[in-house]
Amino acid sequence: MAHNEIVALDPTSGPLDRKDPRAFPERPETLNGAVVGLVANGLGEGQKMMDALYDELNKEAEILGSVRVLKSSVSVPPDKQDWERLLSEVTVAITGMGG
Amino acid sequence: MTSLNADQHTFSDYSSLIEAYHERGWTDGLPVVPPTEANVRSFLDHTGLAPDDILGGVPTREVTCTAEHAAINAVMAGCKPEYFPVVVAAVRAHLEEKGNCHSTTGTLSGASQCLIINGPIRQELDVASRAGCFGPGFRANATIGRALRLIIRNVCRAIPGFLDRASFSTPARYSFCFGEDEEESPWTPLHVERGFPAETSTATVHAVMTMVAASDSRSRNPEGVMDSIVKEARLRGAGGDKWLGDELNIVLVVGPEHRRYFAESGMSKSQMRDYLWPRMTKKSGNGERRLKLGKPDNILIVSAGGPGMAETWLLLPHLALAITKQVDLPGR
Repeated sequence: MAHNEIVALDPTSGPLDRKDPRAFPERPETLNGAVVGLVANGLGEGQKMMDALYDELNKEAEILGSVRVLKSSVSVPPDKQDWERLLSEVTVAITGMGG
Repeated sequence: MTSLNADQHTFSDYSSLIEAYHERGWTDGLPVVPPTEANVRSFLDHTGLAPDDILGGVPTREVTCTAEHAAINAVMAGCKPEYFPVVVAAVRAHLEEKGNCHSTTGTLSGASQCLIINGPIRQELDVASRAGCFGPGFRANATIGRALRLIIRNVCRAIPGFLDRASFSTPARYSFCFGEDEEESPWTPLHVERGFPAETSTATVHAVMTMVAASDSRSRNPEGVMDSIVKEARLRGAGGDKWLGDELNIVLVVGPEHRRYFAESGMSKSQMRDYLWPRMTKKSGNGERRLKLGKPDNILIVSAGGPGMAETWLLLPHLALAITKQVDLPGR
């Protein structure tokens, strides 16, 4: 080892690359025929905003329907059963976030 | 000797290491102490932990924090090896389920993690609890708090713009650690109130949404001081949360200029809570917001700070409970 050489350790629990290794699905070109998931986090008027957003989207496309999720707490991600509903029933999902 | 698991990297000199750690996103923007195998082992030796021992995890982020992870980051933060048992206790507290790492380190609001140290270890490590204790200039405070934050960044992946979504964040996220001034306090220390023996040392982690001073240099009795605290608290309020239940905390850090009125009147922490709780939690109105604290015991009262300003600092909570863990010291 050279005089000043230092061998040091990686401090992470794994790669910190900002790109998630899990690929994002492609966004559909249209919402025609889509089922839209609406995930409200429970803060403020989030549910009303989601409803209003859905109404606006419905004017732009022939949306088949919606799956509405209200998180059980603002502190935590959606419940397992809500994830399952979203994964099995919706084409796209919109999430509200806030802190 | 149990082998370490972390990848090793070779650098031609210290400057190269610093630049590489910055480029890889492994720092808080400040230089770090090189985490060599020898340094990390000396830290682990102070706890008796094996490298693989798990201190906690964040299930939503699919990460666990081992003793080795914590030691590497504590070295980087500039800790001394003897500080490491406190860092371990802090990590265990923060990674308790209702310490809520996921939310408190990802939130748009940029909550900080306040670490309060109690018990004999404060004096052994020279943890500051008096004048200037929230600020810079004290190695133990600065580096123990920084170690927790580097772990949150490097192990729990709360990186600004990635899983840390703070709109502004806060300088308290570099480091926020102080001790309770048990020697100059008229009250039972925080850790004893929370069920630990006085001779035990503990680390309490409290997620702070907002910190604000209730400054009141006019009151000359406990009720006046507490009315000022209530007034300041109700300007902000604190929302409840279904998942956290009735256990949400607020921490009041009472400085010596306010403390003396409680000492003179013999008012205990419990009596303070009985005065504060109904006033803090009464219905919102007239521009005031209630604090949804389920019971008086959720008001945690700590002695710290130096003379001069007549202040009590209010550490208003983010979506987590204040969690206290014992500092385990092998051989004691």
